[in-house]
Formats: sequence, C-alpha cells, structure tokens
Amino acid sequence: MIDHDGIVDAVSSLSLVGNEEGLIPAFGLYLTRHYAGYYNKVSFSYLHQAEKMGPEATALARAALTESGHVCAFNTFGGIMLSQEWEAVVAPMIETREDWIRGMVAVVNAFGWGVWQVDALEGGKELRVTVKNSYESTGYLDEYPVRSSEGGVCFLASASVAGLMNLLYHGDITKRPPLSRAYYRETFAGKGRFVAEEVRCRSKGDAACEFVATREA
Amino acid sequence: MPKVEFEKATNTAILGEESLVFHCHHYNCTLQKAVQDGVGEGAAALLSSAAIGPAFRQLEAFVREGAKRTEILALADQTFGEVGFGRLEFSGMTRAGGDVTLRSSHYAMGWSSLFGESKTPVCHFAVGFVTAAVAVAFELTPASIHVEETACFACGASDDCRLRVEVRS
Repeated sequence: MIDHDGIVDAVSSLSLVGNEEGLIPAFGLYLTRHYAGYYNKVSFSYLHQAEKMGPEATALARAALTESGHVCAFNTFGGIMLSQEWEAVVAPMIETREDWIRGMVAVVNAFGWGVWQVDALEGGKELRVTVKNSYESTGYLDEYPVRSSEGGVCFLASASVAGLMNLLYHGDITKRPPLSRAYYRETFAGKGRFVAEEVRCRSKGDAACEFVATREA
Repeated sequence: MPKVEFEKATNTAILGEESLVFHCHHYNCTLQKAVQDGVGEGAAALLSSAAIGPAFRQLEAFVREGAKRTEILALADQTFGEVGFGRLEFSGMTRAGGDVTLRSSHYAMGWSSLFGESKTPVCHFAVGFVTAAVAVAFELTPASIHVEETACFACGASDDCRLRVEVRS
C-alpha cells in the first residue's frame, strides 16, 4: 500500500539544495529548482511562433516539446526509481507493478509540479491522471487568454504520464536497467510505446488538466 | 538567505514570490536544444529574456522582504547556487557594468555531457539572470543592460564561463 502523504513528506524533507559549487547532484542527475515561469515563457513563445507559421510548424513544435518531456520522464523518473532514496522510502510499500506508478506520482507531488492524482490505472493498458494546478496551465493562464485552438499546453505533464507507462509496461524499470540512450530509444520510441493525450486542459477553460496514456496505435 | 517554502495544499514551492519546479539537466538542456533548433536565430534572445522576468520579480521580492540593494548581487549568487545553477562572482560590478564569472554552470556542464562541444555559448538562462540581478542591485531597467557570454565551458573554455555586462544609457 502506497502511503502517498508519507512519500510527499519524505521527499519534501530531502536536503536538495546546491552544494559549494552551486550544483544539486541527486538520483544520478544534476537537479535544479527552476522558475516555472521560465519554462512557460520559453515553451509558449516557441509554440506561439510555430502556430503563427502554420500547422506543420505547430506539429513540429508540439512534438519537440513533448520529446523534451519524454527525456525528462525517462531520466528523472528512471533515476529516482533506481535511487537509494527510492529503495529506502518507496520500495518497502510496493506490492504490485502498479504501485511503482502510484509511488512515483507521490514523489512528483513534492516536485512543485501541482497536485497529481491517479484517476485510473489498468496495468499495461491505460493510465489516467488529473493535475489540478499544473504549472504549465497556470503559467499559460497568467500570460495569455483561454485557448480556442486544438490541444492542451501541458507538454511536460503529458509526456510524463506517458513516461510512467513506458518505464513500467513498455520497458521494465523494475529490472534496474542502465538508463542509456539505447534503452531510451527502446522504451520511448519503439513499437507499442505509450503516448499520452491531454484530454482536458485549464488553458482551454477546463477545471483541471487530464491526461490519458495508451499504447500508440 | 530566504528559504523555499513548500505549500502542501497545492504542491507548489515558492521562493521570493516565484514558483519553483524541480527539473534535471537532461530536461533543461534538451528543452533548450529543442527551442534552439526550432526557433533558430532568435533562440538565444528568447531563452535569455525568458529568465529576466522571474529573476527580476524574485530579487525585487527579496528587497521588499528586507534585503538591501547593496546585498542583492551576493544574494543573487547564493540563490543561483542554492537552486543548482552554479556560482556567480560579481566582484567589481558597478552600475556602469563589469564582468561576471560563472563557475560550475549547470547548463554548460549539462550541455557538454549530453551533446558535446557547442559552437556557441549555451548559458542563456544565466545571461537573463545576471541582467535581472544587475538591474535590481542598481535600480536600472533590464532593457538598459546588455549581457554577453564571452567564454563558455560548453564551447571549450578551459574552466569557468564569463559574462560581460554593459549598461547603456
């Protein structure tokens, strides 16, 4: 049984601050506590430039922003799931493969990314996640009017939801593979990978952002 | 040094009135490369200017919370380092400008490890952050400040990155 609040408290209390060099080495990564506003300004400026250029440029921009999120999910979620901290805090609560996802969502809820909630999880088939206040949609609404065009704007969150499924049901993070580029391609680009769709987004006037990850047709 | 406050009800982290989110060098550098590849010539300006707003608001919040403007450059270095971007040395900076040394640049080191040597400097976030820091420290408008990265670890600079600050009237 995953103790969601216990994991949030444990991760929030980790001393993830810069060392004397101003770096935060953790989970095999170099972490930052970056401005949400920076990511939003960068991503949405790029998106809007592409939207002005037309559908082809827009599709390329959306794909590039999503791919950045896949890289994040693979390395950050993968790194955490292979870490000593995971072994100490989360692993003792894990009884099923699905618990890996519920445990990771609890960790995400200490990242400052908003309130994530697993609505439904059908192992190997589908994951539905709602984020009540994703930093991406919050940032969008701070700067721009409600969108009328297709597609949500939570590229990182959407890619992360797909990433959770890919790490557990397309690849297999439970076997502790090295997080190599080859394994990334196998896990995130191979046939049968999971992709996510943002079916509701606050940037479009919805109350919350909702993501559904399924296998690519 | 102000501390990050975590609001459990909303799972948001706040420092100096700015929302902070954890991300690693893979995401930071991959997103930057995606924007550079997609936007082309204007990407560097987009990436650096995107940092000015949140950094300026955060450092001004520190002033409202009691920091003196004479302390802002030191506070900017501490903040930059505490959140994982490296260390900034502003020694000799005046309201007319000066040079900044960026040690252990998160972006430069991350870029080098992921993509190899870059033909152009990559510390665009630091350029924007330094612009905001100098603006707040000397009560200048960010638009009056020009910052250029003159040496970057990602381009093969032997150790530190260097930034030149010019204040234009």
